[in-house]
Amino acid sequence: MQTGRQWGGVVGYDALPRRWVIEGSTITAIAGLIGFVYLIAMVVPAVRRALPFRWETPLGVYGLLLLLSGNYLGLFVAPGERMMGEVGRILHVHVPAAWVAMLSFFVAGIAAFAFLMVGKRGLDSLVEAAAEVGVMEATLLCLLGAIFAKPTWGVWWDWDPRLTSTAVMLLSFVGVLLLRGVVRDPDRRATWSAVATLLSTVNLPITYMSVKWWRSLHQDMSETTGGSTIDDSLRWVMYYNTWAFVFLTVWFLATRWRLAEVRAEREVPDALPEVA
Amino acid sequence: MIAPFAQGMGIIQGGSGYVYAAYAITWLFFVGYAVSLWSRSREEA
Repeated sequence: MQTGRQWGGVVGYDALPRRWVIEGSTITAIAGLIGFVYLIAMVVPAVRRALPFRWETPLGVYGLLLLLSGNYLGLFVAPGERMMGEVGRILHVHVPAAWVAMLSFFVAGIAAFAFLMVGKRGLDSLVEAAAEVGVMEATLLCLLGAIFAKPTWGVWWDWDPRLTSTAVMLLSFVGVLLLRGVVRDPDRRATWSAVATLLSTVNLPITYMSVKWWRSLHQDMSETTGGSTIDDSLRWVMYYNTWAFVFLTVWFLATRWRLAEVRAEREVPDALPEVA
Repeated sequence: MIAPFAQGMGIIQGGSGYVYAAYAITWLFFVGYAVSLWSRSREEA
């Protein structure tokens, strides 16, 4: 029996009891809210300092718990997709991977711009952290996409505009990391990598809009401001997993940023002794 | 492994191996990166 929207898009083919969908959507909203309330509380320095542990650690543990339960929901509770069948379950990790990869690269772009404006070393460390986390997530995204493509399109890879622009996005940020690895002078490294990051960030909207601008093999956007083409029986599971990806990304970013700061601190030359 | 191409009604048949592979790779990447961060943090400490 088919359920949900019948005119296309991503549709669950097994009917989930309506009550499950409503309760699942509520649980998903609460799961996201808990993480965001914690994040907002951590904006206050006094609250962060009062904690006996690093502020991001609970977020990482929470993200892992959400990932564990979200993957269970994606594998065993959510229905398959109307046309893709079981393979449609990859949606629950592929889409969140795309969103968090773009989010990390966006953070890198904002940090790079801010660094060029104010020149604070901490922003350069954030560029390094966000670029590295984004590269890890974009690599995951491409692998998941290939695994999704083989049973649905019959090929592991196609030079489709979305896939190509995603590959360019990934490789350009790999270039940023390589640049940081070869430039020894901290000031030059920070400036050059900020410029390279900004140039790479230009590709983000192109990647995002590629499915609209050049209709090809990759499907059009499912989630837009105009609504969703994903049936509710699948959508809440995808968002549940998205919160897991988002909170894990914040954990990764914060931990990697701290690491970059420690390294940057060591590069600062010792102050010259005072003249007697 | 033969890809489970669409059969009959146009619905893709099978493909659970791809699904489990996707979820396993997700965990491999996240746990692997977390371990990498932990290891580098210890080196810097």
